[in-house]
Amino acid sequence: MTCKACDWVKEKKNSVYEDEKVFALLAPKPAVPGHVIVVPKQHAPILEHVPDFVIAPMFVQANKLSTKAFELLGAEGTNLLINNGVPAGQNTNHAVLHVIPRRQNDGLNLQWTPTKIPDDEMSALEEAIKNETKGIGEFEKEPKKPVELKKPEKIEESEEEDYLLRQLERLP
Amino acid sequence: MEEQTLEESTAQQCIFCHIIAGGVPSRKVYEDDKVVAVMDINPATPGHLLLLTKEHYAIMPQIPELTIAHLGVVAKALSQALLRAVNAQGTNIFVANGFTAGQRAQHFMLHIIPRTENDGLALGKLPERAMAEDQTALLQKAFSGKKIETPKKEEPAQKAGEKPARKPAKKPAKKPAGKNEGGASLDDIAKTILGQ
Repeated sequence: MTCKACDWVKEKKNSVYEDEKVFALLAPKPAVPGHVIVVPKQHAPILEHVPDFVIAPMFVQANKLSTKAFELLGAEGTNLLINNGVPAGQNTNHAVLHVIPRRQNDGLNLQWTPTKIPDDEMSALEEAIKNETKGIGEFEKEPKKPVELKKPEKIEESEEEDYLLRQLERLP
Repeated sequence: MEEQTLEESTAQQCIFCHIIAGGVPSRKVYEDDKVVAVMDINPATPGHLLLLTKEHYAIMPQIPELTIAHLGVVAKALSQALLRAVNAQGTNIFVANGFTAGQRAQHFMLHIIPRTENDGLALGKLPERAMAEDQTALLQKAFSGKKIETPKKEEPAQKAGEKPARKPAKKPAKKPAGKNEGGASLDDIAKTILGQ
């Protein structure tokens, strides 16, 4: 099964940014004009499979694109959105980050109704979550490329004697 | 009379800075030297987390690159933790910069929202519209434009950008006291961005 997002990267379709780890393009079917999708070049079906050292540039570039939306597109607001998993709205089998410039009355609804959860349930959730977050510590670093050592250059002995040595030899 | 710096007065008014400092009770689930994650007390779904920067920033463009990178990797780790802790089937990672985008607090935050099927949330369902060819080309050009130079003098309307007419500054909507980001004009946003 081909991956839509990988195809976008290959075709360099509607691109607005590219470097060796991420590719950003104007959404082929945008929610609003200026909707940009940031795609990690390495295929990853869900967010959890994207290595940390790729997540970092994804966010950094998304932020820069968001800044550009403010400055150059006249956006009044921007949203960054990752839909991780089908119930979250993920509709490609490749983890992506959406940058959505906003204007008043643009017809987009990304709001939710706040709910209230009883204290004891909140406490139980808190414990469950803390149990999982205590493992968070080291973040993946990009594996270092092996360094090629240059062979030391052969030091050629100068034919000229050292000037100072010559002076020494002249001393009586 | 000693004048407060802008940072001091913002920190005094910002409830999230108080939460981070421990002055207001909260349910912290993760903390390191740059960020803190707390449970949202009015969650979209059970387990909804807010990832906050310890330093006060109003919107993401103000945040330094290294912190942005850190926010990203911590958000991913928290998403993973949340999936396991609450048996969610998915998560949304969501940032709102600006009142129009849904920002309701003056302290930058990143939402991590656990999702399950039929949980009733509209978040994530993005409409898909067609895009005209010429619009694509225009937008590509806009995004490739250089950042606007900071004007030396205070010039409210003059900008050296290449994009045509912007919408005027938005109407002041109802805001809680002390909030400053919702009504900021693009100039202010741009100045804070370029001031880095």
